[in-house]
Amino acid sequence: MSEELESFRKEARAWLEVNCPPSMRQPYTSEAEYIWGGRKAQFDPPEQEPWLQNMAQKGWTAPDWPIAYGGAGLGREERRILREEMSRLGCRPPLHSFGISMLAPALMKFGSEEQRLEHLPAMARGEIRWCQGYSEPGAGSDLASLRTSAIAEGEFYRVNGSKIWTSHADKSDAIFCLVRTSDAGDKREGISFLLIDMETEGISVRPIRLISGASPFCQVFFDNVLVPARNRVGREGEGWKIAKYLLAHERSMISGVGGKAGTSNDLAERALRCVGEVDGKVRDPALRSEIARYDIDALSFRYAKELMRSGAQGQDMGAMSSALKYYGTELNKRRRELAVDIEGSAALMLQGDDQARAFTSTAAEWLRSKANSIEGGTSEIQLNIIARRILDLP
Amino acid sequence: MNLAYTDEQAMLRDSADRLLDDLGASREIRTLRDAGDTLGYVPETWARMVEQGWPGVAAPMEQGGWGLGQTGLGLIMEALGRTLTPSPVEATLAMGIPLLQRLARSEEHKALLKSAVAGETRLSLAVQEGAHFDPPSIATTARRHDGQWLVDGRKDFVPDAGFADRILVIARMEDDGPAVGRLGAMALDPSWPGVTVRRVASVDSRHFAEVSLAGVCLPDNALIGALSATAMMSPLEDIVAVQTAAQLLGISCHVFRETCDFLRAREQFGVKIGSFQALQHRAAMLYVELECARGLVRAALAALDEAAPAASSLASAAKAKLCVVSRLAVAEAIQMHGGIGVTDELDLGLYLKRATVLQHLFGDRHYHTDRFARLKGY
Repeated sequence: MSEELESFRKEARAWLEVNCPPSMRQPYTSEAEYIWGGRKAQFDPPEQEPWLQNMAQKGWTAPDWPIAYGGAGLGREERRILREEMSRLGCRPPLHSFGISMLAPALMKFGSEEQRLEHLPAMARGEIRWCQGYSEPGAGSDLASLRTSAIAEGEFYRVNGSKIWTSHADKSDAIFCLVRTSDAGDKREGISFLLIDMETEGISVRPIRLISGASPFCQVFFDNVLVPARNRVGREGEGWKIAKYLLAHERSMISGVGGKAGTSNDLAERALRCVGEVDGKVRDPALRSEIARYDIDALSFRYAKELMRSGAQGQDMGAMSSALKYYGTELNKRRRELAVDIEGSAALMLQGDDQARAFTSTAAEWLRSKANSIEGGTSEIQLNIIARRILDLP
Repeated sequence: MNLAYTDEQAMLRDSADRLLDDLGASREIRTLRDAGDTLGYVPETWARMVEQGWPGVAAPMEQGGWGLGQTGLGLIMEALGRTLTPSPVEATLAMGIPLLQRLARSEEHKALLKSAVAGETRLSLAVQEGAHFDPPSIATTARRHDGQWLVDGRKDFVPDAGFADRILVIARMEDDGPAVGRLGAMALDPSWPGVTVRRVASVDSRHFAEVSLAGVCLPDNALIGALSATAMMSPLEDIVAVQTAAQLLGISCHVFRETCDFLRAREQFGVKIGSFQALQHRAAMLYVELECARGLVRAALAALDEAAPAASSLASAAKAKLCVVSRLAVAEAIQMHGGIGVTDELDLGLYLKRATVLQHLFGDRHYHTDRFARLKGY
């Protein structure tokens, strides 16, 4: 360990101990506690705000970014040290940001320096909250067939259409969109990548309710929305290339689902409680067997991920993340079904009084899990990718 | 846990593959079968394996081994799964030697261990009684009498007992000492009075044996040692489970590769059948299962070498998982090959048969799923 790295560790530790509020050192109990930033941000508890601001000032919301873009310019070892020091204190991430995780890579690779300087610092400071506008009611798995149009009119594009499954659009300040700038040639060649301010006239947002209740998903409508042409990232017709580059990132984020599985005896402990035990075993042998089979599969998945991480196979990482996303989400659905089996009818009754009836958390998780194998690329699409890119099938 | 191969391990894997391929070892089981062979393996092949030092791969360097542990042995097992090559390796290296390493105390038994590690003695481990592996129901007894042991009972489906130089028998001990009621391991010479070895051929063209013990009189020092007080025979059971899983992994990956090759080559209806989405999806699902299976086997081998607390549950998890995945892999291989898949001309049937025999050896998936749950406390 070099002297510089050691002194970086000491400084980071000291700074975090002073600047990380105690309430920001508790583990999350739900996604509702995430810090998203943005113009409409609500900081609750209030310590979220100074925590975000102080970390942003250090450039530690995006530590690998150059300082000019709002990052800290940290190298790989320094970033690892920062993660370790934050983990040591139990520090929560100061910022959850679709912008940083899903848009910034595109700006770094395909955007102009002007665009990077305009958007990245505000992103890193958590001042602008971004959402993703890809899917449309008529273009899900077949994203390339998207119809939201952007017709060039002088220094603007006139945008008409609708995007769906846009997470948190109702709370976001800006949206990055795939739009159709041309109908000529192959459908992929007519797609461009546009940055749109959500406050622009003509944009409306409708939240989407799922079978599991309220969700962050929205539908966004564009009615003759005028967008400055300088908000286009990359050249006209480059949108599909940019989108593919970004989708690989999204996929590797969602493969974390099902990641907790296999590291705890959660289902077994619940079963011993809810179903009962005989001689230390779950009373229902068939259910016990299903739980054990699930636990074994979850364990194997955990080690498949480790195998991939240790670079053991030397493979196409994008296609490997498809394999993990597919298996992890199917595993999670099984887990949630088993949880319902374990808790029985008690899981299926609504709780609360007449004014606010709610699903049990078991029921909510079970219902929500049905979407896991659909969002972020359906299981069927992932299997196509594995077949084509890893197995080289025609 | 770093599951990546070290350079040493990669070299071992490559040299094992090369040796087997140079020997044409994947043709051996078919040749032996068709010739009506009764020994059970090709002596020249075993001699080459011994020459390469395979029997010592897992043993510590102080015992004359390579010190590559169960992980090293697992690579050889996987290669043997790939080629279906019969040899004394499984019984001697994955059953006999681990038992001796764990229990050998006397000079005689340590010498037996050394000899096995040098490839000079072939071992067999006799545990199972009846059609299912169930150590708690072991009824073969070793009764102390006048400073000797009297062994009575019968062991079934004992791998390699037909040619082993020494058979290690697991019996329930009956004496007045502290070991009463526990399982003990006795080393016996199959030529001794009272020992009858009746060979049985299995569907995978290997040779097992029924070993009958009628009042076999063994000297005091024939007892190698007592196994743990519970009927679960960790870590011996763990080692056998994981090494069997490693073989099943080799089998599964081989038939999967063959299947993908076939999908890419075979044409029907004017197109390659590999272009049919239904087959693509099934192949892709199997691919992911194989990655999971590989991860689990690697982790279980590492846990054995690290003597990790989770080693036993991981071992049963690995065996149970590989039973399921290998069954799927060989079934899909045959199905996707169509008519030719069920002919004896292809080797797929040999892989199906071997996989199934291995699935049932030393505890099938039900046994190990139950053992996993018990070890996890439910």
